[in-house]
Amino acid sequence: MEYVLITGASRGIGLGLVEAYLEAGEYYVFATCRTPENATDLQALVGSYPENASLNQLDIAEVDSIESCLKAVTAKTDTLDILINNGAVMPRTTETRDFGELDMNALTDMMQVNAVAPMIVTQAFTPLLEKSDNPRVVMVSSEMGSMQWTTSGGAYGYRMSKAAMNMSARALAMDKNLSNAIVITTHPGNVITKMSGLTSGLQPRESADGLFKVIAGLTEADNGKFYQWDGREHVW
Amino acid sequence: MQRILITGANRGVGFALVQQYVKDEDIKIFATCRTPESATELNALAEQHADKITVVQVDINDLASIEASVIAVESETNALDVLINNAGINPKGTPEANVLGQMTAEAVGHIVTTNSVSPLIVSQAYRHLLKNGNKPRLVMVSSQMGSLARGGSGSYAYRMSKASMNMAAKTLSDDYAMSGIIVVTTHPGWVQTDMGGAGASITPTESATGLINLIDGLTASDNGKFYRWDGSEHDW
Repeated sequence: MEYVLITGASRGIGLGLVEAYLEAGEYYVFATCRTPENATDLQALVGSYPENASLNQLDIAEVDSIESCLKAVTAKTDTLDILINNGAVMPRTTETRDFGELDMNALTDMMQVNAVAPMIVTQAFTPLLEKSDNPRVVMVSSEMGSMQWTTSGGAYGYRMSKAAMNMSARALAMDKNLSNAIVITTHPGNVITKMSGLTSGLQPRESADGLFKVIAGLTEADNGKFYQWDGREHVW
Repeated sequence: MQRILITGANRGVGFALVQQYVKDEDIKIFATCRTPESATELNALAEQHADKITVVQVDINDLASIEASVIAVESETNALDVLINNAGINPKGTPEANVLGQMTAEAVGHIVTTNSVSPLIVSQAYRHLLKNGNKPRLVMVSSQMGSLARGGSGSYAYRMSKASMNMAAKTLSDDYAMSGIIVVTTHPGWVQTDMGGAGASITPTESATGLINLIDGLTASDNGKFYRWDGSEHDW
């Protein structure tokens, strides 16, 4: 039995990941989201696996919320094997997207949620990860955080926050205080979700199944790398 | 006449840039810093070259201060040829921004905002003056520590902020809203400054001279690239 914690699990790729891990068996999943009371799909899913899942409140941008979540997890286990930092925001507002309309506070908030918070969450769970025989930390980032892939303007806040998130994965991968963990960052594919707003592309579950497979196959040699949902390596 | 604006011009690489640029016969330098009243060296240099240097107050984290500086610059020119986003902070000896287990979201977020969001906002505020410039160039003074290909451990906030700054530059270079403006990001070298420390490998003068050569020689084909102070290209 391995313990898995997933942030942003109420919908989209996060919900798909919870489903993938629960269907696979042999995992206990801490499915976290900001407002569990509104997460009806996740409530139903977790409800059908009462022995293998719990729904925990976690607002990754709130230190107190991280502390409470850590306490709730620690009540169940002192070990965490897999941490998936999936929670993120992508507001449809021009103030984080369009040059000429960019707003300092809106950009700062976005950097805080998408890049700083996942790193702080990882830090909070480091003592539990250190107790695992095979700890893995996964950033659900984006190809939009890739310098080499970027070929158009706009979406400043999202691109910058995902580049910073990728860098946090690089630094975590080499950190002696998290020395036995394999840390990767990922591009989950172009997935049809409420956040992406895409109308064609991958289903959340296809992306989640791909990520599940990537994570299951991780070895030491993968530490610090950037993978697509289909297992191919992504350029920086 | 070349018209140049440099942020963080009171010391280190920023001040060295002013010292080198002022040797040009036909130049106008807007040297900005957060607290001009304590910028003794810069004020002395500006007094010697009153026709070439204007010291302007800018706190890059304060939108009102940025906007006031634009008005001050506009009273002397309607065009900028070069904008150098040099101001940045590296909180050495601050475990809250550097060390896993001791970081806070506030401390990391402050660095990320100062080093990546604020330079983007400054660029936005000065875009109209750059658009009127002669071969307009926008230069980010970033760092090799922002290179994802290079990676490295510790210094989380600084690494993340410089990766984000590089992404801001890359996105600006691809943005139709910035068409006609050459955008590059740079690694100024490991420089003997308050930030780089006494053990660093090059002097501020060497760094500034290299950067100025680079900036002087920029052409449209350099748009969106990452250069070292010596003109060689850096990996993303």
